[in-house]
Amino acid sequence: MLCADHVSLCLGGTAILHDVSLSARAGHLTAIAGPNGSGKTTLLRALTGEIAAQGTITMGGLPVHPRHAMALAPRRGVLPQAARLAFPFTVIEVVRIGHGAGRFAHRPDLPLRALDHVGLRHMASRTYQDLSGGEQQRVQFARVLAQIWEPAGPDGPNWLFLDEPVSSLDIGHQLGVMRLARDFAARGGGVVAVMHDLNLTSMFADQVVMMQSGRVVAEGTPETVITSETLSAVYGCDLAVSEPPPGNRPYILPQNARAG
Amino acid sequence: MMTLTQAKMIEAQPRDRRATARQAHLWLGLLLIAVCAISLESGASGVSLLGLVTGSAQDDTLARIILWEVRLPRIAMGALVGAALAVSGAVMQGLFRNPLADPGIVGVSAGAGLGAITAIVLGGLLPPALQSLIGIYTVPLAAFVGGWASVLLLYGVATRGGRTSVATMLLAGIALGALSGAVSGLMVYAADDQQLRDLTFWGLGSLAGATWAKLATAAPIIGLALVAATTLGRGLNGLALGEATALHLGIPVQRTKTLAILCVAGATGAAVAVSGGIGFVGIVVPHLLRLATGPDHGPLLINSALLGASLLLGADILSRLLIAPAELPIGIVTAVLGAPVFLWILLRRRGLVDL
Repeated sequence: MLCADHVSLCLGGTAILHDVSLSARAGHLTAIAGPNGSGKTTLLRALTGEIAAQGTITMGGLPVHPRHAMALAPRRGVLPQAARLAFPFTVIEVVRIGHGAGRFAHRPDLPLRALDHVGLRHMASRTYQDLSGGEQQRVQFARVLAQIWEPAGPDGPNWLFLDEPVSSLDIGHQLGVMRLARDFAARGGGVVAVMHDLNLTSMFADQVVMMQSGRVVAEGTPETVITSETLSAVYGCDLAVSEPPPGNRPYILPQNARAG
Repeated sequence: MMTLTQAKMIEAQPRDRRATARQAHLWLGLLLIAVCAISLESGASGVSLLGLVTGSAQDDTLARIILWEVRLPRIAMGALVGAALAVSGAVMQGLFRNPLADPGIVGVSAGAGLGAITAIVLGGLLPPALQSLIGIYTVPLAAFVGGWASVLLLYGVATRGGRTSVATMLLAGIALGALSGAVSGLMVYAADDQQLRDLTFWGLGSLAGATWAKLATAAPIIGLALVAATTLGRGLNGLALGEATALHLGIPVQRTKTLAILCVAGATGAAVAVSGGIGFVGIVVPHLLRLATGPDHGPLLINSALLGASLLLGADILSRLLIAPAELPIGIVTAVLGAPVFLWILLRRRGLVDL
């Protein structure tokens, strides 16, 4: 269980989060959605203990705060939004850095298996900086997987925190990464993901937290949160759920993709 | 034609640079021993250890003095300073997440130099009790403080929210170097005759003045900094992924940064205190090693120490032999070797560096 209780946060004198309370359950994929600048990423940074916030945050009973980062590392992995790398590490070396920080550092097969999961084993020896943005994002996901690996450990469920995990991926890999995240949750782990894509959110999330201007404005299952009324109010434009666009323009619904 | 499956099978076992990097410890160790031996045998006087041992030397006592009081301390100093500068470079580059960070280029050496000069000129103003307490360590300690203040200032200016702006770092380095140079000039202006003599000797930027006594002042500080630096491998690898990610990997980020800054200040400060400003070792050595064995800081830091020591001793041999019996300042040799490498990195990474 991940609990945030009355969390507020100011950055540079501006209040970013106002009295946010939420709880996310292990075994569920919890999506944080909302328009640009609504505080999604800041909330995720508070939930991972990257920045200290007012209020209390606990993960499986452990207090979440920057000074407890070492105790949290074996139990939760964090995928950042964009990751620039300072030196020419190869793909497998990046994954190994995550692997070495986790509980399974004694299993040398895991980094390659993590790359298998994101379909990048054949690029293991390539220089990370030479990869495309989407490939880099998948390498980072493999790094997080290699750090945590098991959805549950001896002291309870483990957690993945994903900041827009599919933002630079093509539709095939979007589905691939979301399936990996859902699978992690289905096997007992906790997943919290900041999501931009409302279709993917409604497809994969068990619970949706809708943010607006630093506040939680709706929380619940995708069916109760992703409604025409809520979306129109939050995103400031007239949105209708499940209406095909006018004219004969082609449109793609990821919901229709067959599992593969 | 190769099918995709075949291509994937070839990649089934990815190239592993870790073994290469570890083997490099051995090869670079052997290289260092070889360079030490060559350095011991070469010099303007024509004295050689071989000659001394086989008894073919004309003057045993003179040969002994030259080898034991001139060449050996010089070799020890060269190895120590080379290792210190190369490791300082590698640690700074890891800390600033940038391959262009080098104590000489971004003004840390100048800051350490200011510390050293201040100690030479104003050291007499310290309370006598303190003077007798730190004694011969006054100059290296002051250089350490100067270097430490410089790295701290530079890091504070150039790094915001865990990201270092390369442009800010290089420009702040120029400002820092200029300021340190100006204040150093002021110190020289205020110095008396004896202090000017000391300053001139210090400012030669050479290993020529190496003595066992001088070595004794620098060796403990450099030794400590080098040993501490070898513990930074995992932390700097984590920092390469960004400060936030390092935190999520369970790396004590603040402690790593503090230790890295102290290591750079200690190693650069002590090296500058005994040998003046010798540039470019800190940028060339880690860069070559990254090309050869990858950027993993664990082996990189150890290999940097070994190759840095060898490189500086090699440059010292050149500086002694090129215009023998006169001597070229070693800083010229390292700059001629190092400046093109710096430009090369800058040009090759033009797209990546947000200048």
